[in-house]
Amino acid sequence: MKIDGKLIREEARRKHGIDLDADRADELAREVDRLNTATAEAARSIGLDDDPTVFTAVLRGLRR
Amino acid sequence: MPTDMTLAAASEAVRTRAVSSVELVDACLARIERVQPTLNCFISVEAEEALAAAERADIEIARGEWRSPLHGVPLAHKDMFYRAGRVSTFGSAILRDHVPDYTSTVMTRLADAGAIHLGSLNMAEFAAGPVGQNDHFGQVRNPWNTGHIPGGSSSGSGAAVAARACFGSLGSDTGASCRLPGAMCGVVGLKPTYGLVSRHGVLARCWSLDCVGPLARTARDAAMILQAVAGRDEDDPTTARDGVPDYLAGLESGVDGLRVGVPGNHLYPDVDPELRPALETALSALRDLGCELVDLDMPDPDRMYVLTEVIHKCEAAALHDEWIRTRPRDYSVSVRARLEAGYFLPATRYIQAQRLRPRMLSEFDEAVFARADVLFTPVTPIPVPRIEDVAITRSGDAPRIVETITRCTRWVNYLGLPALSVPCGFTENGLPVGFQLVGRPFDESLLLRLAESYQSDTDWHVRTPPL
Repeated sequence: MKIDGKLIREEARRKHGIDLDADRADELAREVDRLNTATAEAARSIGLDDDPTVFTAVLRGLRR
Repeated sequence: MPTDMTLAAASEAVRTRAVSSVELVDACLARIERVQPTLNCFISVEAEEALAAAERADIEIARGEWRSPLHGVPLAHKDMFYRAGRVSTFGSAILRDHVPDYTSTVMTRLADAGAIHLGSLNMAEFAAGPVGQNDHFGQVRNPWNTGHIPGGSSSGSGAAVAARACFGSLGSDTGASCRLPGAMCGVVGLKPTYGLVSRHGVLARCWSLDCVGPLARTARDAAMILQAVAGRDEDDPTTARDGVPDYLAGLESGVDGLRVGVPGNHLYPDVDPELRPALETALSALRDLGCELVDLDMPDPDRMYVLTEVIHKCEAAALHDEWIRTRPRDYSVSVRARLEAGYFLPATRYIQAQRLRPRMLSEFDEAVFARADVLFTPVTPIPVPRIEDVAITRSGDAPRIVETITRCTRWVNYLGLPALSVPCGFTENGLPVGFQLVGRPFDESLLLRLAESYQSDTDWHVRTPPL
């Protein structure tokens, strides 16, 4: 689903109590769409066992 | 000039009483008076308190009560480390009068080590910007050419250390903020491993990515500051429980046979041709020191960059939520533009970006550290920009400018790895160039040793800006 300025503006007002002008909402829509799409694509490689809470343990486990 | 000494030289001079701490503070205060009108690197200077502390340090040292290599040495820090009863602005209008009622662990440790606090340094508003722009406290300028940016967000730290206004500084690094001002001002900037240095009493930029680290003229100087602040802190449960090595002990043990990875597929190939001679000369110097240069392919940094951005924006939006809604006009355009997208990214994307972190760290370790001991990259892909070329006055400019400047550094915070920027020359217009060394988790000792060897063989770090 394409994220557009109208959606961003509506969500900003209704969910966050923030007023955005149309131009800024359009900019944000492009930025959010880019980040959202790229993350969704990267997330395809995630498996059931990918647990975010182990990050610091992995970091410590890889020390020399 | 006493201020021309490195931190290590100043430390030794104070310890042996060849120079007093009061003399060092006096020299720094004179230097600050001279450079501040041009560079705008300080937010506040605490001259009387610094002189009083220096007098106490001199008395203690004369009594044989020398505390540490930082005893009596004047430092100044990014204005974001809490000290009880003292204003900590975070470079913002919103916290301009913010007075914390407790002291950060890093400031406590530096005080216990006997370091002298000269004052608080200018920075990007809420540590959110890589160019040194601050609409509330004014633009910090590059000591090598005041028409150019100093890098950020620890902009005052980079400028003040390079300008010889203090002997070292603590900054913070969420995506580049120690390394970038280090590289752009011609000093060393260290982003430690996530969890090595306490964040207790340091206002967050992004909890998952923030690191506190030193900026100093040499790797040895940075090691001395790191030694004082690193290690487990019960007030910050994210700090590692493992002991802290002696960062100074191995600095001179050489780098013969060390494998330096050079990524053939990313970052290095894209670097601006103007930076290439300095970087290639640095690689040759490392080879001459006995390092083995290893061509390798690294995982795609742009993929990690995007995931870093998602975490960064979501956490920043959550952190600033109330102020964004109630005091939007107290933010500059550039800062608001950096975090607003965080409101509209689904929580599922944030969690996916976090879920990919351990896996990407393991993949990176396998791809890079199975073949090399450290990774060598540029700090920035472009030469130090002019202030007017990267000033963010329209919200739509922010993502492009930030991505251009932090492309080589931001992904390192996603992986939590240590990274060090080291000055390695100048472009034709006299602005500094730096290289970045990325190491295994908690391998700061190796990065500092390699940089120390390089600096023993080169003189970029002893050159002084024409102020």
